[in-house]
Amino acid sequence: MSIRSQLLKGILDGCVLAIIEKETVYGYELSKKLQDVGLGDVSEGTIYPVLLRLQKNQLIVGEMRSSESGPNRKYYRLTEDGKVSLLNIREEWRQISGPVSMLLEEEKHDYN
Amino acid sequence: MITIKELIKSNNEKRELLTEENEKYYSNLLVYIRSRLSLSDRSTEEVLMELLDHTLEGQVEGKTAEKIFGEDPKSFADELIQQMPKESKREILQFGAQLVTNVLGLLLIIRGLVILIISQFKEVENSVYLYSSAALFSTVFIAMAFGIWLIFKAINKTVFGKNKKVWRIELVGGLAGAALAASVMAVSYFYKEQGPAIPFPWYWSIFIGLFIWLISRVIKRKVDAN
Repeated sequence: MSIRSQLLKGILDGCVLAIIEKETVYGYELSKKLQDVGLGDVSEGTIYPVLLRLQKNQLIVGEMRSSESGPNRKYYRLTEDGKVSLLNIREEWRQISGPVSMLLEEEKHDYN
Repeated sequence: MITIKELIKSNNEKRELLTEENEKYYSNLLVYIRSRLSLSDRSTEEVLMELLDHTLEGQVEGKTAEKIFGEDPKSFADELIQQMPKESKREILQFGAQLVTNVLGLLLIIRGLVILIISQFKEVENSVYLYSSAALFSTVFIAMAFGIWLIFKAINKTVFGKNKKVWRIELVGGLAGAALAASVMAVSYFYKEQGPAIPFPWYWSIFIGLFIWLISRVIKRKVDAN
């Protein structure tokens, strides 16, 4: 896998975990929330491989709940491991985001 | 918790609500993922239900399945499959046990009935030869299991396949089917009357066959409760 897609994957994982941390959501809700914060470019379907991977790594658990009125939906919530992982991602992001955006912005100025 | 059977039933009902275009796109995903026998049944049906619900909600907003899941459904499905849990050993064992008891039970019942009918007209050999029977049953069972596996593999390969390749898969499938049938016939023809002969009259055959078949029903019920 290319470094680029690995980087994007890590960021998307963090975003998904951050949304699930706030409240339990199901797939469609999650994609709506990603769009609402402006990540509309991420193809909606891509959240499903991400959700599966996060489940495999036991960072989230999904539970299929049958409701009397609506459809059966799979709601996701964070596990303890997921909370720890999100903390780590937040910390890494904090360290990297400032310098990276400064560098990338600078570069733009230089070349223009 | 909702059972796998209920999920499949609900999936069948909800699929009716898809537009023609979305139905085609979604059904290909469904067949492709379901034909991967090594995947956990529960995980398969849960993911399929999520994708179906998402498509239905997107449909209300005028979005197509292609817009939601991308123009390349095969790579999308492969990405999902890569992350999905495999069937557990216990579930594989249950499935195998159900298949063995089902086939063995039905074979014994059929044997009993055939002997009963033929014996009305002429004298019939009642005994079974232990080694011959064991070899024949094993061959039938392996041929069936391999045949089932082959069919699912062929379905999986052809869902998103180019038309050029389809005839090749059909040819291989036909030859494999013929080879499986030939191996069953070969065993029954060349390996007969081997091992100790045990008298096994028709009524015992039906009785024991029914008993074994009932066991397969019990196992199936257990599997369905998952």
